[in-house]
Amino acid sequence: MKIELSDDDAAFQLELREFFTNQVPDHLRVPSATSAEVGREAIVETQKILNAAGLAVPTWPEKWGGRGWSTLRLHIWHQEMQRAGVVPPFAQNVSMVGPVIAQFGSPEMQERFLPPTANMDIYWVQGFSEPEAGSDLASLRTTAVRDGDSWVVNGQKAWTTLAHYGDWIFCLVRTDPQAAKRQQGISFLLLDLTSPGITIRPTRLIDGCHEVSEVFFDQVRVPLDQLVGEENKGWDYAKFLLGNERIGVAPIEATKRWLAQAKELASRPVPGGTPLLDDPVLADRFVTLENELVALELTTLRVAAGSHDGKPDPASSVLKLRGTQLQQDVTEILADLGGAGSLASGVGDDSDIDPAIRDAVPRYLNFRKASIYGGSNEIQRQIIASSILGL
Amino acid sequence: MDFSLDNEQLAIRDAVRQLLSSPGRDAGRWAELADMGVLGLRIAPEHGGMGAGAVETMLVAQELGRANAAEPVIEVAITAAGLIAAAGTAGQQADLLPRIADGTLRVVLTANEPGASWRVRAHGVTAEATGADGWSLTGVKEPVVVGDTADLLLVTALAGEQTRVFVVDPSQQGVTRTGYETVDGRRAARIVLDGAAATQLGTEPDGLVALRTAIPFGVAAYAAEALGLMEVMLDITVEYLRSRRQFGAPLSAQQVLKHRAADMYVSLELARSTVQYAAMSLASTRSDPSAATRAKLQTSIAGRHVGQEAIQLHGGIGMTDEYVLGHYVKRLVALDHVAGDARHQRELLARSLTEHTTVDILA
Repeated sequence: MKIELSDDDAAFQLELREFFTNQVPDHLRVPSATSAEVGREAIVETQKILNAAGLAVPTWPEKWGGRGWSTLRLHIWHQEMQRAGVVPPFAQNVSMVGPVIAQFGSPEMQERFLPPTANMDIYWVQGFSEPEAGSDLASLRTTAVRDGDSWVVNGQKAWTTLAHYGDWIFCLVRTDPQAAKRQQGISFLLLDLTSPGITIRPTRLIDGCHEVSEVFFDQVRVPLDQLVGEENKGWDYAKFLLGNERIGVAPIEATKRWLAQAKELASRPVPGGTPLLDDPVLADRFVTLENELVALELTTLRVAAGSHDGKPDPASSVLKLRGTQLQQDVTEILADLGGAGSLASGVGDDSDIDPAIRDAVPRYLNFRKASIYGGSNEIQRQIIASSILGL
Repeated sequence: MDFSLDNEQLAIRDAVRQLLSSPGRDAGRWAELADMGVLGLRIAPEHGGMGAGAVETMLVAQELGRANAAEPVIEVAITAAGLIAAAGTAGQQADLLPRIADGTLRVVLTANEPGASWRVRAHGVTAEATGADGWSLTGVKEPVVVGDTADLLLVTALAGEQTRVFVVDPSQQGVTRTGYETVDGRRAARIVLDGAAATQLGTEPDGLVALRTAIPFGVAAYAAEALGLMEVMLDITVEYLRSRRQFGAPLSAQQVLKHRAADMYVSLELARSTVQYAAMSLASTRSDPSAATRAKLQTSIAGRHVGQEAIQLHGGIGMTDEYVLGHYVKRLVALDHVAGDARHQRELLARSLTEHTTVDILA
């Protein structure tokens, strides 16, 4: 047992720290913003810089830009990126569709899609959930029927994150409604979002923002060669995709930045009073959250050190569950700190109220999503109970 | 960065586990722990010990927890021995440490005073010099864990303004010990010092440095003990959910109970991470001075959660004295009151809250 990094890993860490702080332009370093807040341009521009430096897709096969790093190094990479306020490579491209194509796609499909996916020349969005298929994903109803040289897709996806930024969408579609098990009739399909018959309709959320959309498919024709791997094997590919999310499953560095921001706000002088942080009840909350984050980061390091590639680690469920809880706790403390200023979400820049205070309640509301997406926290508890505890 | 145990560490863990799994808490087991080297873990080889590190200490303490073993290994062999090694003169070390290692001498640190818990500084016990090397101690220490059977006491006392540590023979006149049972069925004592003769441990006029060096090892060990207790409590709770049938089905068929067990697991694993961190940190030259405090805080929070849920998920059987669970819960509760509860650890951590922006493990 040893807490220090090896000399090699420490050098690796310094090298990345230097790159992220000095080679990524300041306007792309936004320590406290979410990917929805930074917008498409910054996401794309950042990923092109990272890709040129070989830092966008380290988990991929080396042939396609992967680096063959240990899981510890992947953790360091992810952490240093966030520490410098660099927007991480876009998960839909890098952690979701990319690895699926690299693992299951034909050589032609890999040639066609992987380089632009790594370089963010294609902005991917995920079409899994549907109005009737949330946690119970296998009940999805969107169909694809073979017709000559095309698949013809009909149906609807829901909760599609940043669909309005997207160029392409990867979808789970039902290709065999007669399959013995409903999981066996699903395929993994790639669609150009400019195809005729696709309509995107925003779903406004309680924070007032447009982050997710409904995507409707009406007789959309998709070339046959855009089906990944084998027909009716899509469920296996989706499970592979979800099992891939181990690095960065708990957004620790970002949560730490937000907590630091909250602590700084709480330390500021208060006209006619004392800083909020002088209140021991508030200080107690900060101490507890910092400690919980220490525990979570260490747990992430334990999982990183012990994980085996290609196999979903049920410990990921612990990280997702606790990671999102703490993320929500931190958005809550930020919302609490603003006092009356937290009412002013609509004030714009012409105000004395700090932007972090103005945005705190919308962000608090927005991040209620964190315990719902990516497998709700109830699903994570189910996985822990069955896969780890054997219940 | 490495969370794995080497073969030697695994061997220590397995040997201690096997020893502690044999029933009984007779005097023989103390001698067996000495034979195995456990009582000399923190003692240098030149004084008959193993000179082992914080990781080995953590493993042993975790096994003490798993077995809910009452032997005062942490009090004697970790905290007191560590303090003697940190502060004692060469003569004191050569005299005391070999006898701790071979199991013939039980020394404990007495710091608590009525109304003043877990403080490093002394308040109500004073020391007056009585000659070249002699001191006379007056005041009350309470509760002193293992205080009623200890062979020797290390007593914190105020010499003028400064806290120093003194060695006191409790069998002498001027020392009155009243032993009693603690909430976890173990023993403690009220110790009244009335002009008790004492010698200083070491020669430093300020004992706080040595105390602050030695105490974190004990705190980290208690956190590891709590972890061992919680491991077993979760295991037996899960087993109970599988075997107990109500409404014609095992309790584990109830999603609400499964999810609560899953939350217990999450608390346990996060606590485990901080316990390992404390051990690695204490073993490192780049030590995080608050690592033991962090582990104690996290195990304290987790301990409340796991203890309360373990009883609730068992139902009535969890309330009975004949079932093992309640005894684990009581020890876990007691650990909150040994070396500081969550509130106390938060108070310590709050002092440095504004000295850092974030807490970085891989800084």
